[in-house]
Amino acid sequence: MNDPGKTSIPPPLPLLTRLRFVQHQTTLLIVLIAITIAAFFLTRSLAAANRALHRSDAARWHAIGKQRLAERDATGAVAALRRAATRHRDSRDIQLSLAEAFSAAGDSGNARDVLLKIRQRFPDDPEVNLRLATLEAGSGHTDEAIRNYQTALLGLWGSEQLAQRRQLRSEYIEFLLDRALPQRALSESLLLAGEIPDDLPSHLRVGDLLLRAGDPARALQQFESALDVAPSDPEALARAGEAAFEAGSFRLAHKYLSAAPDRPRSRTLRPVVELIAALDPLMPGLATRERHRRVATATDRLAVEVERCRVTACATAGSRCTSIEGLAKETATTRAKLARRGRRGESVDAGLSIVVALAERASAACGANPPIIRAVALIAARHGVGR
Amino acid sequence: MKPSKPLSSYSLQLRESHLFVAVTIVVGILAGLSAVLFAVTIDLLNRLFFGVDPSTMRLIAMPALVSVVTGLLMRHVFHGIRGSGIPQTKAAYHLNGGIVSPLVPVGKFLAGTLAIGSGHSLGREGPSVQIGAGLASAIGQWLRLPPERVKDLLPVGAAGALAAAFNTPVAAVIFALEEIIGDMNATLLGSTVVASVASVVVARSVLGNEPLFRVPAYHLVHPAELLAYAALGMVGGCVSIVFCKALLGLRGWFRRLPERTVVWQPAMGGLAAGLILVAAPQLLGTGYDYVDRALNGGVLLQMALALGLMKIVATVISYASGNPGGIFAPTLYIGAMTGAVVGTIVSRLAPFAVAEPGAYALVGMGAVFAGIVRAPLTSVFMIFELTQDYQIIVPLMVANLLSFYLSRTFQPLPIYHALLAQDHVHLPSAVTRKADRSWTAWHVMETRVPFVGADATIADAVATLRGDPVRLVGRADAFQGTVTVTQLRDALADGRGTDRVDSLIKQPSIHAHPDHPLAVVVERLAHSDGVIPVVSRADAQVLLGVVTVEGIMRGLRGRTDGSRQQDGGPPAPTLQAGRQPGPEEA
Repeated sequence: MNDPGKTSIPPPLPLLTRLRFVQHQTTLLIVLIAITIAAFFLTRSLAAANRALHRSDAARWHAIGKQRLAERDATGAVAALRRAATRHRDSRDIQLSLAEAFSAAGDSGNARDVLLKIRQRFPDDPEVNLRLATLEAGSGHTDEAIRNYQTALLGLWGSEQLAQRRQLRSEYIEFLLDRALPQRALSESLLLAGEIPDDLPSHLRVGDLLLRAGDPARALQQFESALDVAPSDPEALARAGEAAFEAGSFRLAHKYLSAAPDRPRSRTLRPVVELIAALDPLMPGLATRERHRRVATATDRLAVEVERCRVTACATAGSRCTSIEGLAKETATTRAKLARRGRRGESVDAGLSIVVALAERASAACGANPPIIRAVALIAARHGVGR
Repeated sequence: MKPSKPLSSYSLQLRESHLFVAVTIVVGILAGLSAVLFAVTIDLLNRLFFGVDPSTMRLIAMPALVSVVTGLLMRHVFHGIRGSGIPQTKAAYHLNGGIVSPLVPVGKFLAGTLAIGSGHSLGREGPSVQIGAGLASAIGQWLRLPPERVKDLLPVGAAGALAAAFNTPVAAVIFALEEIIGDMNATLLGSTVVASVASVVVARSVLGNEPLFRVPAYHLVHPAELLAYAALGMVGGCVSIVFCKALLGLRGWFRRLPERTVVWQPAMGGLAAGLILVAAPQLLGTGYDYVDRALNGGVLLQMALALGLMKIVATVISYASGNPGGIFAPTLYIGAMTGAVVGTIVSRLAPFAVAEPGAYALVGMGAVFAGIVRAPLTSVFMIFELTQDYQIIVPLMVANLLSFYLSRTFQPLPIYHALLAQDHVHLPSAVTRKADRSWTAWHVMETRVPFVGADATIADAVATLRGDPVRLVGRADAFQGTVTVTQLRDALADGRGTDRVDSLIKQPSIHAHPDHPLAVVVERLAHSDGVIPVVSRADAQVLLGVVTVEGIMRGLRGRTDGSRQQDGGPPAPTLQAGRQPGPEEA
């Protein structure tokens, strides 16, 4: 017969014995808990040491990676920075460097992945969003770039980072202007105007952006603010003159441009502005006679310009010479006609319209825009004469 | 003064229950701490052995040199710590009442950290499970808990360790139930959950709550993409089969080498692993950083293919040569690379929009895990917890199940069972564990059995025949197999009388274990030559008895007569498997 090998059931222990046994086990358990606590602290300190070691290794590889990046060894940089990222995968700086290395290696896909992963962890990090924006801008993804620029601008900026934020907005406006998005650029420029400190470079920069975004009036305000800070700054004067010119405030333009005669832009604009100041027949406060005189003078100046043009064109005979000769004759006739009208006290507006039409024809025939033609065109535009 | 409450049996029972809950929590915490410490020590040793930028010489020499030490440790100091540790844990739970020697967790910790830290392509999770389970068992024994409580603590410790090792509390509980206990309805659910939670809380307080892998949120891009995931499941299944067959084949080869080489076998594996590391340093250790890269779509097709193949080779060599370390991490690595390969091909060929290769790497990881470890539920939850990405769960389930079924078809025995079978340990199947034990092989077997020595000649065996249908070859503690009388007589007639009798043994031989229900025994008897050897589960080379039709009849008659006591049912199989038959009884 087989012995089934069964474990015989022991008789139940008396309650008191069981109680003592449980008490003994409880004591042992307390000892075990003490051992567990000690083990916890041991493990934690070892884990901390290991973490520190990993971070030091990561820092070393990070430095190597950055060095290789500086040496333009993008592949080597990617390898080193990948090692660094493996050893300290939470490091934002290492990940940013890795993204930079990928970009340098021409691998914008991986660079984007790395940056997007960092952004998952730091969604409001302006630098990450800026890098993403720059990456997208470089890849021609305008919408993504705009989104990332805006996210970067709306991110969390410390009080010590305001200058960087202004710089970023400025870069964003440049990007928008390059992509021919002046309305967005204007909105951002106005926001930037509210953020800048009251100093010369900031006002100049914002004024410049506003001017490029198509708002010369607000640009003029910025340049005037700059002049409040530095009244004799030639750059500010020249730009204020330019903005005033673009805004149609020719008297102001004349004032500012005259004060900054050595600036290239001043040299271009000042003759035009001076002509406008001298020839605008519809300027308020003028006597009728003076208005007619101005129309006549403008015609004379135009005649001189057409004659100069004729001489140049007819030096080499051709059809252009013939047409300009016709225009010269017509100009002389017109001048006499206008003189008669002036003596009869007829409308200055009508005379100005004739001059404007003549200027347009002269511009078309001569193929250039000398100051007198520009001045007449601007006077006409200012008063809604001609077209 | 208030009189003290009288002591009642109920209140004492309550105290005992509370005590067990407290022990469960402490075991969970300790198991978790041990897993964290194991991982940290591996990291530190890896840094020590290889420095920041390992040289070629170090890559070649370090695994081999360190494996010499681990080989000596495993041979002379710590036994039962080779390989993963999960098979040993299962065997301890099912065959040894949850008793594990306290030396096992200590030895596994030492040898495991050395082996994995020295660059072997092995995982740390399997050893963590064995260490956690071993600690749990040691604590249970130290507190002198009842045997059933000690046994219950084993999966509790295993769950705690796995939860901390992977930061996957749910998967750890499911793994303990699905793989260690082998019963999803086990009553230990509460204890494993408590231990797993305690372990993860402690591990997170030490390491932080970071998923092992950081992956973008992947999802099913197109419904037809499920077909691609199904294909990935099939490929994953094939990879699993190749891996299992290669692992078992090479391990079998190592086991057949002479006994004196056992101590050097880990070093042989170490040398081969070192040479592979020179070609692919990306395989160093667990290789989780490359898995992470694959999951993020950062590994190219050729690279993924090469790394996947080399990882299979490196892991098979490291594991089969007896180095202590698991196959969880390599499985995930191989799966991720398989997925990356399939994903890249799909993204190039698919006529519709598909997810990035990283999504396929994620699903591939689960599919290969399900195919190799053969724990599909654990696989799904583990991938979900490892990546904290729920969106990809449907493709993951599809691929997992296909891989699982394919692997099960061509590799019927799960890898851990197959590894144990190579060590002559036969775990009971789920059916056997749940079967009615009122009649088992143990109750009807006869222990007075005739043997013939394995080195005896066929002529000698024929000369000692006494009308038995078969002869048992070997000894009671070194059972080789059976030969039939017909075989013996035919061999003698063929003039092979001087050949050794063991040359006639057919493998695999039909056998039974003492806990097999009678129905199973009778079924096997129908396919046998009339005699079924009954061998120990703990060591299939130990013969406990034989079952014959006559034996069954005698057993039944004996019970009817009341001459046999059957009230308590059959014994639980143990590593000291009861009475062993005497020497040859001719």
